[in-house]
Amino acid sequence: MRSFLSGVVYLAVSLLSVQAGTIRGRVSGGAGWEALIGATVLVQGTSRSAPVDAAGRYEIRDVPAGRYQLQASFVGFRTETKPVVLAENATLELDFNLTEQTQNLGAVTVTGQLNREEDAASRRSEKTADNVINVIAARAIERSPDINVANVLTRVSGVTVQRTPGGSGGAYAFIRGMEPRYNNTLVNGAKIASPDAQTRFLPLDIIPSDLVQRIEVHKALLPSMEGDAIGGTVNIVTKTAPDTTLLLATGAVGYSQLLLDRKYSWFQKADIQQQSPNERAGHVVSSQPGDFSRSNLRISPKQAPANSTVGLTYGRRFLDKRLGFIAAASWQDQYFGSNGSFADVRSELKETRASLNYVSAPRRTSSHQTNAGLVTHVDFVLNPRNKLGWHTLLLLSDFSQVRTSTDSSFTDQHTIAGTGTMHDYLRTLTQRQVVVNTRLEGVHELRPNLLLDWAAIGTDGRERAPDWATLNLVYLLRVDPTDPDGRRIQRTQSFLEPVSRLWRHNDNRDYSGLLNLTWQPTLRGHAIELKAGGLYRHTSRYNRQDSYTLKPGFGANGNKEVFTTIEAANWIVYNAQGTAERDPSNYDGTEDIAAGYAQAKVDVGALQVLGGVRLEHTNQHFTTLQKADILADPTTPDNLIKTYLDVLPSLHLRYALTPSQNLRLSYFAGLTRPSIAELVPNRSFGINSDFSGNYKLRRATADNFDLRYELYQDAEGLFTAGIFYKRIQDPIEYKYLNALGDQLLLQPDNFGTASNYGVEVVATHFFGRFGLSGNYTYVSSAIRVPKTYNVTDADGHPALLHTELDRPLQGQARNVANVSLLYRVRPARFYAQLSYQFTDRTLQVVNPAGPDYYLQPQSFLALSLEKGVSRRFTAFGKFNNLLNTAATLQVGTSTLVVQRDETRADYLVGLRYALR
Amino acid sequence: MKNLFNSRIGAATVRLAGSLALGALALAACKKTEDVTIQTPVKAPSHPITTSTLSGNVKGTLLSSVGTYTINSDLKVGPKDTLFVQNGVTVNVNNNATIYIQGVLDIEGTQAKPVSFTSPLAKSGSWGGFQCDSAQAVTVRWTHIDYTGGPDGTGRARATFVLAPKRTLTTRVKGIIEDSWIKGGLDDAIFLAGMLDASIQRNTIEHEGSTDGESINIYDGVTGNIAYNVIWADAGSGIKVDTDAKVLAPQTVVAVYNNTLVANGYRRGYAEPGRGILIDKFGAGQFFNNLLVNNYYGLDISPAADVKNISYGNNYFYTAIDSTRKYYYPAGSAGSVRPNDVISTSKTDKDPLFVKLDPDVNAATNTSDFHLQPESPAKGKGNPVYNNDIGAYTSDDKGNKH
Repeated sequence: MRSFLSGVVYLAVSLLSVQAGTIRGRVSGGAGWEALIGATVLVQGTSRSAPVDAAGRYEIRDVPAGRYQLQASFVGFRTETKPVVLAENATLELDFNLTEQTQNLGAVTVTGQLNREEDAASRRSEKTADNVINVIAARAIERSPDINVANVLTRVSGVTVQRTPGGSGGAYAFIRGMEPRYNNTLVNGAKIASPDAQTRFLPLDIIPSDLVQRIEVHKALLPSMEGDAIGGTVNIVTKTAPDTTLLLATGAVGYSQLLLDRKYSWFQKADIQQQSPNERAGHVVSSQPGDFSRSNLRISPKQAPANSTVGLTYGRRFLDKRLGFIAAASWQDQYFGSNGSFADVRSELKETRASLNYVSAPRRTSSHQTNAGLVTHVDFVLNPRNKLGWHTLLLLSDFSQVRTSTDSSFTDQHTIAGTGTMHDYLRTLTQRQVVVNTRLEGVHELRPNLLLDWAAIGTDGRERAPDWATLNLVYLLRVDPTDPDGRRIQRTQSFLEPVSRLWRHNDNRDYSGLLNLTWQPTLRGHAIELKAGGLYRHTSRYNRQDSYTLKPGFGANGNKEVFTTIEAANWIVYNAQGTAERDPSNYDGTEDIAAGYAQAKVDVGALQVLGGVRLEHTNQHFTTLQKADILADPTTPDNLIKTYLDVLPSLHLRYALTPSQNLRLSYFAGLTRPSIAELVPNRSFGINSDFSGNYKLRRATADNFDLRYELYQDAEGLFTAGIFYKRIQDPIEYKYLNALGDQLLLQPDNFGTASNYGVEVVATHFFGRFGLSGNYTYVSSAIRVPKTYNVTDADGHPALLHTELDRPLQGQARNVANVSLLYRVRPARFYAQLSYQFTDRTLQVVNPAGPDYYLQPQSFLALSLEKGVSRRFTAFGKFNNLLNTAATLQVGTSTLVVQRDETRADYLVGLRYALR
Repeated sequence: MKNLFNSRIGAATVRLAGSLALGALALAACKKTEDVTIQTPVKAPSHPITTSTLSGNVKGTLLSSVGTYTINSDLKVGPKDTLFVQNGVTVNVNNNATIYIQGVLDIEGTQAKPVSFTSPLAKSGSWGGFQCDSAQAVTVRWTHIDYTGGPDGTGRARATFVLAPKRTLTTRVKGIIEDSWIKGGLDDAIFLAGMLDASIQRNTIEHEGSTDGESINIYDGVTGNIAYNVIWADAGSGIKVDTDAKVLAPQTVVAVYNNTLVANGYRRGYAEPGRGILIDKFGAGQFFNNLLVNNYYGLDISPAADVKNISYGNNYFYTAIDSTRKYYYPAGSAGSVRPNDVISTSKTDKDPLFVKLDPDVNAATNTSDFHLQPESPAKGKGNPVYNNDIGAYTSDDKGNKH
């Protein structure tokens, strides 16, 4: 080491006295000798390196004369090293043509490369991947109008994201019209525990995009990938240690138009009890009316503070570049809301306004969400053949919401227009989601062409939702009995109705281990890759809820009292001991997945064949805490063990028509497992809908076929077109059971066999300063289901009509299109992107008794701007939902609106500092 | 199956043997030639339950000879099992325990020896009542059921007697609650739903519901007769008939006649006024000869009811409270005065002449006596298809026997 240091000092000193030379050249890759934009060329043993520019060239200046090893590397290619002797003042021309690495992209990333954040690297990844894949890079994310992963994903071809207006029911990806449940969400190639009470996947809106290096959407699965995806897999790759010192800082402020148009509803959180009365005492107590805070049910209008976003990323390499480190932190504070309505509709063959049971309008939310995230990555190169890496991801999301609505009944005491029973609902809630994920991994080159990689992952996702508090006031609009004409309407005073106070928390812990062995021999000139490996994951999960019903107390006259203020409200605790001991939604569950696979890949000329098989064994179990032998409903079990084995073959062909054109054909089998929460056959509470599990729920399995043509024009130009077909057994969909108060109760169920096919086109092209980028997906799916409608029989009595109906799968939008117009002036560092997104009518709620509910077509327009204001500072602005598009849910056969929410536009402007 | 068979045959045989014995004695009396004595054969009860503390799964017979039983935790009568209760039995229920019936329940109290299910605390909401969601058959005669309405595992209120077979069944489950007393539950007294053929007759139901709850809540496809019941001081409506707004068939269609309904519907407050009888969403049936006194609202036929399939008349409306007299048929409802109705226009007009009527509708006293005085104007005003008289206490022997 000492001699090395003295060598450096000697070199530095000699630098002053001798004239240095320049090394430059071209870096290309593959059989087509294509420019590898973004590749890195490094003078080994020095700190000198250079990226490959858009012309495919690099240039390293001021290199002292001497003998060096020059190294060129790029993701997806084998790193190459060449010796050079540089004379004084000389300019040396040295070209590289790297050979494609046959190792599967994304399997293991130990030493990271910043250039993966560039668009060109994304295209390169898509082209060289073994399967059908789309990649979106951090630089593209920075320039897009999106601040979290959920929004970013909507720009990927064939992907839509379901978000709940007014948040935070989480946001999840639809791939090619397949519901989020059919799609896997991975972080750095592995599952991550979900803090959500219902789903097994991580809500994408709590991941700030600042933490992400790139997002891969795999639409076909390799045997080496986890098999529980039918639509596809979203892999979020967090930032990895850079090759050079990196410092990025971002700060932005913004506002939501909705909260400029109306005030934000604020409620006092100071008195909220973080634990239920039973939890506070540590045992079952007999709670009293005074145990329930009141100030969190008093709301007041306020001007919301501005939204703010702060991000900081720092990374560099130490110890002669053997140790890499990066940390990225992000903090987002956002205020938003929705204005809308909700209706309970009776199921008839043809619904009209007469089919309405009640309408909640206006239904308004005011939400506040704070997301904090931290990503760290350390990699250590023990020696050129052994590398270790350590990733951590911490996410914290605090959410609070006020929802107010007024219900007008059209059946209860509704006599003439404007009369009926009225309810004023107020709900306030807070919840905190925390995700902790840590991953230790290693890559070991056992022999020159034998690679072993492994990872050990621990992850915990939890949610704590203290005191969902509701206030329900009833009053009556009735015909004034003293009015001789019977027209005058009278409003009574308000009375308290029974309400519940709910404390809920859940925790999901995963421990996974995975191991892969890759052998890359060459046989008769053909590159072969044989790969085998396995995975074991143990998941444990629990859900706890403790609910208390507050009933109105009697007044002096022995009847209900008139409601005046929340402070004066007189209530008694009906179930003073809460539900913790007997609530059937309290459960403990486990899931164990054991998987193994073997795959082979061979290159025969321009054709690459990859095939193999994966086995996945599943064991799911839950036990509810409710006492075993006495159950109100004998058809509802209090425990369950489910085991099954899936054999998942796949075959992927890639044929290079020319160096810049690929043709891909792939088949894979996939499955979708219900989450444990979905199997527990009891009701649980959600922000936007309540859920009842279904222990009879089976996994869905599917055969998937893909054919895709790809044309890579230059570094950024791209055209792909493909068709796909999926046949899905036992698709799982949420069906409507009931409307409860001002939201729906849903239950997952299996629905026959569905077929799903579609066409997908992606194109990007630049014309000088202008660029046009777009994608279009057409999806058609069909499933035949039994339907029951309310009709009137010949005698005028109500009857049921049973029939069969062909309908699309839940979540399917027939047409999805994204078009972005890009404008850039490179010398001035000005970028503008105008993005338009269209999502067609989508089946949202399946209704076994009557027409289904469809989300109406939506068009979104967003604008983002970026301008370099100094060497290292960039100003940017992101403007979303400029068309004020609302989410409208309509009954399938009519224009009757079940639910409508508008969120209006939002704006964000900020400044970014970059030292790269 | 064996147990069900045994106990049913057992009960029937006892009754059959009794009537045979009587007939034989009568014949013997005619001939006057021989003295014949036939001893009624005593058949041993099926699965006699001799331990006096009950818990968990039970089947068999609660015996008069044991007399008093205690339940400290939930009780379940499983599918195809039968719980038979002999007359005179008293069951004390503690700890908010609940009786779940998935098989057959047969409680055979008699006028002389009624059965009683109660809480020693004598306090409303002390236990969970009878939850017969998936029962195969239920018969309850001459039985007191008091102080139910404790919350279930999820904190929801429970009716005293829930009889709710699934509405998707192809044949109707028979549900009989007759000559019984229900008092002091915190929610509905009798909740009926689904594919049920109900006979709810000659019962007395009082002080049901706290700030909500109906006395007889008929829902989701039930058919049958609701007659000769005396219902008073209920929180919500005395009798409510409706059908789920989501699935309208099978429809709820019942005959509601000769009930006496007094002082119901005040405790919910005037934003949700209770009624003597409410025919709500998509409900239908016949509503005759009911005596409605001092209720908040009288007979309310919602415009959302299946109005064209509702017939009504010969109902008697009286109130001593001037402010509620305008609500006999509430304004805007689909109902209106029928020619054969008896309508009191003042406190002194057409007083039905109960033996005693407490004028305070909120009073929890038991001093009222809703039998009719001999000169009551309710007599002889009924629709004879059902009864010549109006109200539960009739001149013939069909009426309420309490």
